[in-house]
Amino acid sequence: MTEKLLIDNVSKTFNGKISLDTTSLSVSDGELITIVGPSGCGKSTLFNIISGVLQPTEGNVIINDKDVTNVPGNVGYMMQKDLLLPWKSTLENILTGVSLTRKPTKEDLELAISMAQEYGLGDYLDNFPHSMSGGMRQRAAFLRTLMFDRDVLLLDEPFGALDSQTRLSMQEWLLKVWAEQRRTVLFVTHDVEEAVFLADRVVVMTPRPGRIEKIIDIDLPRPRTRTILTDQKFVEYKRMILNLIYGGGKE
Amino acid sequence: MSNEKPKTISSISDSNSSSIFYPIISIIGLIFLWWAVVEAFDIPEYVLPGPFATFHEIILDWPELWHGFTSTGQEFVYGFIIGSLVGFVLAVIMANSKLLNKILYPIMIVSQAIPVIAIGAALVIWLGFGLAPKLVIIALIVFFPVLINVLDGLQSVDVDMLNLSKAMGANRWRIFLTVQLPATYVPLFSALKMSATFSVTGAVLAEQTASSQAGLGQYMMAQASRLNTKGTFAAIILFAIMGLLAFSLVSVWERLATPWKQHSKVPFYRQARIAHRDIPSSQVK
Repeated sequence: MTEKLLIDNVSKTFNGKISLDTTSLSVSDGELITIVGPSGCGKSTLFNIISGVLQPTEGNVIINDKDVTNVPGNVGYMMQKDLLLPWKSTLENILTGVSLTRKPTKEDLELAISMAQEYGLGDYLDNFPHSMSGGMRQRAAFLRTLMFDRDVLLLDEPFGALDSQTRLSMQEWLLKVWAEQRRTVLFVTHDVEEAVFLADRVVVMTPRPGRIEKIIDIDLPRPRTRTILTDQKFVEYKRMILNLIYGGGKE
Repeated sequence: MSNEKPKTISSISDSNSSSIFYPIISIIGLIFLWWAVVEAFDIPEYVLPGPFATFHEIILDWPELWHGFTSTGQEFVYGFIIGSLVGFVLAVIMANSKLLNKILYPIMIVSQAIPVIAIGAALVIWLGFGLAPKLVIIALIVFFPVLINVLDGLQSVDVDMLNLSKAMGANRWRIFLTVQLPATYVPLFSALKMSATFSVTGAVLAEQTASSQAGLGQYMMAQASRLNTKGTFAAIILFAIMGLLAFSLVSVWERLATPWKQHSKVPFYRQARIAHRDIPSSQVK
């Protein structure tokens, strides 16, 4: 597989304190990487650097063989908050990803409508965000990110505020969309189960200073459904990662 | 938040049709109370005329009252527009520059702390007795609530949303138009509703300090100086009507401009025109 994103010896120091230690990561085209770790492990710093809104102290970010360090606008970004604009309908919100940089065309509109219909928002096209559930709002926020149309998507705990049932169905939904849209995804989460369930590879980060502890290949068949959650191998991965984060059986 | 079933707020929009009913009842009730008090305590007409005597006076002196109403209304509308615009523009400037914010804020406060009457006296000296000083006085009263509310609205925009817009490569102007400006609508209309009623007071004050022409405030003072209580009350009633009218107009405008406050869906002209496709939208869960 070709390399899509390269994080090349990136580090960030805030006022003499190392927030992100020298970090390197190479991500292939179409890969889904999840990043787990406790708070303070530098996940958000790393994301802000990749998205180009934060200048790294050292190192470079390379997307499609192009140096995009400190250049915004090259990745799609989504957060735990849906950040939908309350005065816009679902459709208008999905199109915001486009309209922030240029005037949406008729093709944009048609694409947005068909994606919304395809991915479960067909009945909510004209709804204001306040009239929708958390799950539906996150779908709209994700489709907005897709419509922004970048190869690399950064998802920062997108399902963190949802209840566990909704979260599981959103994870399955995400896998379906990802399988069809074939984007490269970096997904930050606190939830180890979510990390293993979604990922091709799980990046485990540890704090003080924030750095990558280990990268684990998840060798589980796709497409994955919730039945895999109790699979022997799945549980094994989960245990391994929990041990990495919390230390193995030292209590 | 996480409930998968969408909630609707149709009950709020359903009550729209009857929203005019209760205000009318309460106004009629107020007039009735006025009548009842005058009757019950047998108050003489030169102290407090009853509603019928007052309305009779309005009809008798209608041409002059109408002339006063329109010229005061004109001051009121212009002053209101100028004041709102100034307040809005100042808010945008102050929200975008911390330095200007710090410099201008105390001046804004001072502008409100000085009694408008005092400023009015000076304005007459500078600008004479024409329309100009009156507009300035009304605008001075109107701009402040607009400034404070719009500034609040601009500063309440989620920092993450601004960062997200930046990460998507939007420039400052785009972010302002798409994310910040619409965020001011709700607080703006709260301010405009306040200002709509304040401006009436502003118009009266303006005419008291800086008027030579026939305005409603001028008319009222003339009647009062002749101890014509009926005439004074006729003017008061027209002021009340002016305030109610202004408030209602702003409210209607607010409903049109901020549909997400009352409805769960966008108005029909913004709705998606869907080319019919084979895939039923509910297929994917």
